[in-house]
Amino acid sequence: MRPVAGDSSLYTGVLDGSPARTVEAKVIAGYGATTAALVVFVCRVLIASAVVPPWQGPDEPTHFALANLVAQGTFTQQATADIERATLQSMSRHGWWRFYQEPTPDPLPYAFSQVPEHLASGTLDQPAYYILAAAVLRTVGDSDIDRQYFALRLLSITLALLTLLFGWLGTRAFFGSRTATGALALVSLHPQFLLSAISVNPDVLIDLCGAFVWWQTSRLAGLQPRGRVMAIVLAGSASLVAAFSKRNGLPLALVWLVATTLVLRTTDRRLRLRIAVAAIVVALGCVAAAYVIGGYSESFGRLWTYWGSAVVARRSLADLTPSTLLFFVKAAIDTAWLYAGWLRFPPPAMWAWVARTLTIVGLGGAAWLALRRKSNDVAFLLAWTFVAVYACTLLGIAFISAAAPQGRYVFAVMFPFAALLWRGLLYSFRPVLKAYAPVAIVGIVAALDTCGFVFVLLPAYVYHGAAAAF
Amino acid sequence: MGRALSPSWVGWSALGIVLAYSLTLPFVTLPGNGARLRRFQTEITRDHVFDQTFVMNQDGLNSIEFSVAPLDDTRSGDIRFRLSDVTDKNNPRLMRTGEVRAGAPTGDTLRFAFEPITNSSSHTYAFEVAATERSGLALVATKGDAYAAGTLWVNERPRWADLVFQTSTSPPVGSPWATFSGADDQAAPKRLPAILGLLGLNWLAVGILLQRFVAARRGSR
Repeated sequence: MRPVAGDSSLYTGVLDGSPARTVEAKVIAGYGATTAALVVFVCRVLIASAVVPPWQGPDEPTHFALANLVAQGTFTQQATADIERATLQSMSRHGWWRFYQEPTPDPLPYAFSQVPEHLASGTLDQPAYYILAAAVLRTVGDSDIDRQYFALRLLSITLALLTLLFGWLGTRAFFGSRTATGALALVSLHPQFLLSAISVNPDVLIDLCGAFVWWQTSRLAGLQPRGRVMAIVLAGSASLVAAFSKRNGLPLALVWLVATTLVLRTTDRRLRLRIAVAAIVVALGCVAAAYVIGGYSESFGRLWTYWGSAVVARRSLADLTPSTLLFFVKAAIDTAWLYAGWLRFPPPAMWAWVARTLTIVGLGGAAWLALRRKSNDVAFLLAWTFVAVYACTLLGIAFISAAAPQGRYVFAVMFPFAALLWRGLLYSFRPVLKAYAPVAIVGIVAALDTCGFVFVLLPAYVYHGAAAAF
Repeated sequence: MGRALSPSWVGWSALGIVLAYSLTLPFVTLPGNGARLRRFQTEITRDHVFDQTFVMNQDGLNSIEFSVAPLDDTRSGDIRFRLSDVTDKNNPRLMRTGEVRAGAPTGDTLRFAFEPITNSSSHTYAFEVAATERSGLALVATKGDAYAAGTLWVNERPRWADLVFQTSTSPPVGSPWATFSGADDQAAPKRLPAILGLLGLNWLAVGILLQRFVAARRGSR
């Protein structure tokens, strides 16, 4: 498929189709760089999996216990107590309290409710991830809790790899092979995405759904009318799965709606109407099926309350001072790049400044580039739609509800974000240096990744935890 | 073969070796105040009580070693140590005490060893050195703010100086390599060869990735 927007000669300084441009495109578009980026990611997740002990991701014990209950098919108090006790014993074996700089309790707690400052029981009201994880646990069929944990970690790694695949396909269709390879390199070397990829958490499923919606939207933009309905339905279904995985998956439905509307704005009215009706029928059908077949009727009421509680305003826009905004944006960027152990192990200050500079320069360049380009440049328009709608919704909700911003939630739109970052960073280089820009950007991110391992992960987990994962 | 030995690959390999070597270095540097040219000596007597504050960055603080210099051959009395946790300035807690004969030190350092403090990380300590009478020994200090996280106090007055000292912990701070390869009396973890292989493969793959972008740059000229 031809790229929707095509690669501009951002760093070659030559026009499309020139011999030099063709040679460069062949080198980058070849599978060597793509394969190398994927190998880098696989190596990194395996190394990180050996370094980071179990239960260090956000709410991992809670998500694991819920998946286990679904796998057993019993939700009695006894079953809950058994799995929570076994999980707490495993957490003790892996030195979980030590990473909070607390002594391991003696006697060991036997229920999550006894550790209220760190753990919660969670609910099955958004069951998509738990159903998938339970299927994996049933397939593994092992009663050893550590093996079960690593099976779910492997599931997360697999979902992350699929995220890379779908994200790369979408970016290639929108921006062309060079930008797709650059974005893939950025994501493969991204430190926080790596930690997310080894966590037992519904976030990995939401990230996959986001990449899938990105890919399907790119297909929608390039397909003939006959294939469009299928692309819309697939993307809509993925956004529904995200919404029923975790609360931060909800904005993906909004992204899907806005992006689809933007793509279809130039098609004829009858087709738009047909597509809209089909999409609404499919969405309602999925919800009704879950309601009736899944027996989640009670859950929907609770879910509605739970979703509504996210937008209860505890802070108004009047509280938005420049210093508050600066702090908020800084925290969002920092938590998007590296903050291991769920906000416990930050990177060195210099590291954080490099990451902040990359983000601001990259997105600033991409914004400037989007404004200067023709208004019908679908790729830039849609990439910005994905990033702006998703990020602004989540960060806006975090602000009004007086919660800390968690930049890692933006991984659901990781590839449009990475593509914009890549193009923006390339654009910000001076013309005489543009030829060196891709090497420099990948080199800087690779250096950040190496420093993240050396200065954050190894001291936090290998030294203090005495290589608990071994 | 020629491509494999290109200068960029040689440079990349050299960088990999440097990084591999860095894995053999300790994770953190413990609090201390070492080399500095502008030093001075001040005698330990019953009239001067020295207090050096420092912020500990690891658990298991088990000794403080500081530099001393003999003033003459006459040594008398005892040298007393007191280590207090002054994290809460309004509520200092005496943690450890010790005493040694002034004639005991034979070298140019004196080591105040004690039972390890389990949760010493992030705590601010003050170690006090005093003598029962004129000791004949002098403490070595550096002029200026050589140790930024603490200060030397003499008779409860802050001075623009710091004692020359070095803290240590039990167990000692290890390196990533030492931790990966296990303790001396234990066999290396089973996964060590796999991790080393992955680190090497990862380095090679990042090199190939960068090389593709370099090749693209050359192709575009």
